[in-house]
Amino acid sequence: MDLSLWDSKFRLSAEYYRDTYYDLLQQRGSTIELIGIGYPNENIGKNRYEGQEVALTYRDHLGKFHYFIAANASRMRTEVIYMNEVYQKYPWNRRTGMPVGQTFGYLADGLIRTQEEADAAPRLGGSEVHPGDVRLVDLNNDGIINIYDQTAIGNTKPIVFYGATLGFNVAGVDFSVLLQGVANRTYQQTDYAFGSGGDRQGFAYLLGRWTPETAETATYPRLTLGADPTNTPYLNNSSYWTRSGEYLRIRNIDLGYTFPFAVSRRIRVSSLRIFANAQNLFTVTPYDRLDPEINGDTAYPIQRVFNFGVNIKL
Amino acid sequence: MKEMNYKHVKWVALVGLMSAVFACKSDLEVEPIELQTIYQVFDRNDSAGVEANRFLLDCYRFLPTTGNRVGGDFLDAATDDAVSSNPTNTSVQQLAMGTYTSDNYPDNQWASYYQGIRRTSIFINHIDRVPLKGKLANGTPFNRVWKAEARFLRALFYFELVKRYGGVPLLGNKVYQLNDNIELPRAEFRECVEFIVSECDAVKDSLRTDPFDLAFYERPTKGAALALKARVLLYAASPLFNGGNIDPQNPLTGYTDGSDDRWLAAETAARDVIEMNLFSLQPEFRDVFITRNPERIFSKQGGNNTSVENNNGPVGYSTGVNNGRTSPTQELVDAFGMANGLPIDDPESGYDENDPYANRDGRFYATLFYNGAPWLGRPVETFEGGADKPGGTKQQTKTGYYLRKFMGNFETAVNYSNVNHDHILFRYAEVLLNFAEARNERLAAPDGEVYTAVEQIRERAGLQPFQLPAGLSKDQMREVIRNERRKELAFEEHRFYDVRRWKVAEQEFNKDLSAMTIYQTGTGVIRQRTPVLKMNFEERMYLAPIPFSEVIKNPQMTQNPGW
Repeated sequence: MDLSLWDSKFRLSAEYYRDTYYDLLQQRGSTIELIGIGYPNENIGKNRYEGQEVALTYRDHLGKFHYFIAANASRMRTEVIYMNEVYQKYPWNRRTGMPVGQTFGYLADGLIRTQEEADAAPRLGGSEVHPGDVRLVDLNNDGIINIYDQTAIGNTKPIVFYGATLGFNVAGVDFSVLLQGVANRTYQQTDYAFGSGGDRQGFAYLLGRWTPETAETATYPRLTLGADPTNTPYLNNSSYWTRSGEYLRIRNIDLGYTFPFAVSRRIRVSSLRIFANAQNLFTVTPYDRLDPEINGDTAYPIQRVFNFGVNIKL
Repeated sequence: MKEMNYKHVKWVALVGLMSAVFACKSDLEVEPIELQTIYQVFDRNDSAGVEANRFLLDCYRFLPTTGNRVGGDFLDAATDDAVSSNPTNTSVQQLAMGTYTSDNYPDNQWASYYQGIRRTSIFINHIDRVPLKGKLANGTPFNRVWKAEARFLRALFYFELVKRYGGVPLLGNKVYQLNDNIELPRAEFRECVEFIVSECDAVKDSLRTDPFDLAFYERPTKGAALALKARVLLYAASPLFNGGNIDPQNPLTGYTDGSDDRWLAAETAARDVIEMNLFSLQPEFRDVFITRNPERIFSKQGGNNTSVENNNGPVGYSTGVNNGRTSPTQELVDAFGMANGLPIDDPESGYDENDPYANRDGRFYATLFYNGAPWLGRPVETFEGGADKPGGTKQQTKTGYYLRKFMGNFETAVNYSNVNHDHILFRYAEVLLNFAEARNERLAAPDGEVYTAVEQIRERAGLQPFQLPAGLSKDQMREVIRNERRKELAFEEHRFYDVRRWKVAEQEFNKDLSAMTIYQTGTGVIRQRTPVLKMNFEERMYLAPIPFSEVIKNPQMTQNPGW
């Protein structure tokens, strides 16, 4: 739907879509290994993508003050309709009906603080649990943390992208700013760079490690030499390591001043503008150790760039 | 600049147009033309069977291996014989401590062996299409020989599954396709044993005859089929499956009754190998593992290299790579008696606690490195702070011992050189011990034949005297045989299953393992026995869990008890 009002000062466009993709190439769920070969991908999957997109623009002027606002937002809900999923013993294990690509893992309930809590905590595959380990939630209450306790972790709500451009110009001064943001997004980030031998780079977050003295305030499990299934994230993909991927970012901000013609004529150019702009000047995100647009701690983050310059037209 | 871009566009358009034209002319390629079909592999017009032979050799890829196999460690490091030197939570440590579930069993070979079973069945079903002309010297046509090899391999793959899981689905010759119903139930333990035995019987006279033919060293012979049969019958007669079934009325986990006749069957099968009079004990124990010799019945080829040395050598040697992965325990050290054949706790043995490594069973020196053992021109130093136990975070022995077995004789060498590291799957010493064990269990008291079999092993080990005391009871002889098995077959992936099939794992694999911590002081040496790892064993661990994914995907699949 497109709408234009008041001499095109206000424009709105809105879209709604609901697409079902079928015959998606994927491996069947019942890959019984007795067959003795790897299963090929087959045309079996069915996913739905449903969403709304809205964009509106308003531009007007108050005397010589010209301004505009352009905003947009989109929301997308995905759902696995069919994936040939095997029988799951518990409803929370089921992936059908969840968003496409949903992360599954254990739910975490903070860190184990005391030995009494450790003794009472459910075990992962019979391993020992110590104070300072991540406490995993035993969803089926059988005292063991195993595949039956895995469930959707992180965000399951429709992801929302939004953005806005604001700007004005008055008396030779022009200004614009581009904001961009994402809501309802999480990702798994393990923060585990210490390495199994304790010989790799340590980061500041390790200072929040569990010790008996900081049991109440620790933000990171106890440190162990070597991988330990009770607190090593890659061995237990738990919601302890789920990080918010939401952010609002000033993608671009631009300020300029165009000298009056009287000035530019004097130095024999047809136009003269000085400007300053910045990219990625500012980001608001709940988990700010890493650039939220870059998943993982090995990739190069998006840079912040400042430009200053002069535009001269001869 | 503009001009060039424009030219470019014209060419692209032309190529695009041409490909469109030609695409319309050619036929649709419904399958890739380079696809090699089963009918090309098993070619009716290839009497040499080149492709078919390649297909068969590929089946050998699925044979079990030995050595640093389970997460980089010996399976035996999941027994009371050793621990992994790796400071992290390794696969074998999970096995030793019982910290595993059905979805992360550390030695899960289910898929791999069913892949091997599929390939061998394809071979068995199709090899008769190929008009092979060749014959063995005894007249057996190659079709029969090759098919027999594939059936032997398949039987061995099934045995590898059965020893882990109990009864498993038997697929026969059927090769399942994607649209077939593959939701198959497990066969009974009894049926699996019968199948493996009948396959060994069916193929034994079709296999190659000369186990020492170096040109075909990787191929199984009659001796291999009989040795497999002897081993599977020994397992089937053992308490875990025969009378001691952990789930007494469950035919998947063992026999639902007990019968001494099964010991007779095991004894007879082992006797059949012995009476071939083809195999013999290699006079020097160390050479069994580094040369191709008349003791080897069947091996998977491992090539000539220094892999065992590099993985397990004491870490202090700068010549070559030495990762010291395996730390044998004090329990294993104590299991080795003295050179005079007496156990160390016998008052007559002459064992000296202050000089514990003197005058021990020859196999002790061939199996372990201890503090002071000669290697690469200097004594091994496993005292605290010694070259081979320097402390710090480096991977090193946790027990004061390193693994020596399977290595070349580099005691005085300056560096390693390549030696044969085949994966020995069957050797004659095991057959003798199988025979002695089965016969001892069958009889009321051991007779001369039992003595002879065990004494042959002890004689070759260099024990002086090698004779056992006369008049041993059945129980005493059982302990002797179990001890000989432990020493003789250490690190050959036997003990992990032997202790299970004897159904004594709740005692043997449920205890603290010990290290020997050695301090070198100015006045002498102080030795201290220190705990190194607590093994845990529960009854359900007698059998491995069927992979979790197989159980949830297949409603017919029954999980083992307790998992």
